[in-house]
Amino acid sequence: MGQDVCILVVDDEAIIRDFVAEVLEEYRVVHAVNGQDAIDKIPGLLPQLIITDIKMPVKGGEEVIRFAKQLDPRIPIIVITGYTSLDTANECVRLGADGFLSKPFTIAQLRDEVCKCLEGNHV
Amino acid sequence: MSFLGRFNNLSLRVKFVITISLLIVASGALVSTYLISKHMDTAEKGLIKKGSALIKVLAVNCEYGAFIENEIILDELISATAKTEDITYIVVQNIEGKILADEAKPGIEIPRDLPLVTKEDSLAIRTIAEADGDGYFYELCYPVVTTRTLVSRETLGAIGKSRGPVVTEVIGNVRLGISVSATIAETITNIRGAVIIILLVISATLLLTVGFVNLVVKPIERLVDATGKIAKGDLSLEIGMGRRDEIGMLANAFDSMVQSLKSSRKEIEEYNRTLEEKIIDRTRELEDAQAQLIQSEKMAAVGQLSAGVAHELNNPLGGILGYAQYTLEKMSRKPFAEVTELDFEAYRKHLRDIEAQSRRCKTIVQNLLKFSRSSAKIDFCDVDVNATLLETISLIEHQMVMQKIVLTPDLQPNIPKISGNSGLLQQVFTNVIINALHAMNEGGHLLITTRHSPGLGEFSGAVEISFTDDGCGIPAEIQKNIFEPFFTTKAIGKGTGLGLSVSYGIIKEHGGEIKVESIEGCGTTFMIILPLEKPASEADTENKAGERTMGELSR
Repeated sequence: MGQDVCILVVDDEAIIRDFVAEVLEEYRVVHAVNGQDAIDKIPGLLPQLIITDIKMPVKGGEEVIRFAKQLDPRIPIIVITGYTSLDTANECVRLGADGFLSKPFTIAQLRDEVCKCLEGNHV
Repeated sequence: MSFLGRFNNLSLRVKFVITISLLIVASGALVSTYLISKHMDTAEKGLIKKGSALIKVLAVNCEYGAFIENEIILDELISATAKTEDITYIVVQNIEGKILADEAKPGIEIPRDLPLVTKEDSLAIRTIAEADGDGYFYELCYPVVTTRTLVSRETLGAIGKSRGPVVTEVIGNVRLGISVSATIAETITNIRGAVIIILLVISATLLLTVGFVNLVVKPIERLVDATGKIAKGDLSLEIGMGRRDEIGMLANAFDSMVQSLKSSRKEIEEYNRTLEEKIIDRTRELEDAQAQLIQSEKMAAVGQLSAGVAHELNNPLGGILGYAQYTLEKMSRKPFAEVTELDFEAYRKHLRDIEAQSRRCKTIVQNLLKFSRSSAKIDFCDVDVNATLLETISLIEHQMVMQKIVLTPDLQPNIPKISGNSGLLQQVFTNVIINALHAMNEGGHLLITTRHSPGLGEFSGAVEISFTDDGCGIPAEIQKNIFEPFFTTKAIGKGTGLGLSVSYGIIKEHGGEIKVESIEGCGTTFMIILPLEKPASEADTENKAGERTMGELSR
């Protein structure tokens, strides 16, 4: 584990990306600034986990999920979003997301979701 | 001017007096003329009748004297009669015309050479002009007859009729002068009396007429005077004549009319006062309602922005919460004595991040508060349209990002400030942008441009702001309705139907224009033109009618 595990963090907010990277410092965290950036990086990176925001410029999280799941349905995906409604969560699950975190989330929630996904204990 | 015209211009009083006087004089003259002529006629007839009787008696009495042509007998006979009043002369003549006796009043000249009456029992009446004057007199001439029996030799000595035929023979004339001057004098006296009486009657009538006219006209003049005063608005007078006749009734009716007018005026003044109060109250209520309307519409916009704002807040909050927890965790893991310079630097960086993100939250909340703040009082000041647009964009930016809308701001730098209210303008810009976002559900492009168009003549110049989206567009048939209140194409709960109508009112209040150009399926451009200075006429109208401001806003 550790640096062998690559996690792709997709968010247009640098502060969120930085924070996630710091918390998950034991992993290799790669940043993507929006959905398009992520889609460009995923094939070469083949990350063990994708953490993505939904509402982003150019391309959103839905496209990232769709693209990743098409490429490899086993790649776990955690959605982090400012929308805290049940509709948003359901939509994410429908798209194939494995975890869901609403902003602002705690370190414990983040670590818990990451651990669950990496261990294969999908939601 | 004709006589009738002049007469009509005279006062009622003079007209009345003239008419009554003419009537009295005319009727007096008519009656007098009739009576005088009648009197003269009767008097003359009486004279002739009297003279006829007298002359017949005289003729009989003179038979003997005339027969024997004895002057003494005849003088005696006529002298007594000649003294009778109205008799001017008596003449007895034989049948040849010789005067047997005559008697005349002093100064009377007996007319000569008048024809004699030769037929028995025939009375001649002559009118003879007086020699020395304009007058006349009557002369009666009657034959003196004698009867005799023609005795023949055969009948001499017989008695009665058998003695012979009786013949009547005219042997002379009696002439009688009858003066009418006494009668005329008497008539003139009578006329004088009548004229005096008529004059007295006229004077008395005139006096009475003037009195009567005064009795009628003076109150009418008072009424006319009072009417003039009332026409000028003086309702304080009261005529109160205290009479019970028609004029008194008129005056009383007038007084009660003035009283009614007074109370009506009082009522009207009262109505006016209450009406003004009501108008002030209603205007205030209307202003409040319109301020509430603007505020409600603003709140509706805030509601539509809330999802984006929440998301926008959650990002920095995520950073704040995360870094705070992370730092605390790091600090608790390592005892204070073991904290290295590197650790310390990391804490410092996290705290700086927290501070920056907190400031970001503050700005978001401040912008939202500023936007949603109630602005019941609309103050105009210099507004930088570009700055207001950027503030608006900052509120909606996140929503645009989420909707994958690419915003292209093309704001002309250094455009002059306009006179306006930035809060209200921000509300308009927000509304137009939210509408554009709704039109571009599947993402799209929004181009926002500002341009300064320089002034020309009295026109001070303007700032043109356009919002062009490539959304679904507005069907041509409803383009004319979109600024109407409560017109909406959005689902229930998605819009109030007041956004564009309130926006229209706000732009009109700035003396500006808001226009729409749209092609269904291609996109829509909203163009807002704001003059640098509100046109003077607009300001004047506003001063004249204070309700205009809120009235326009209620569009």
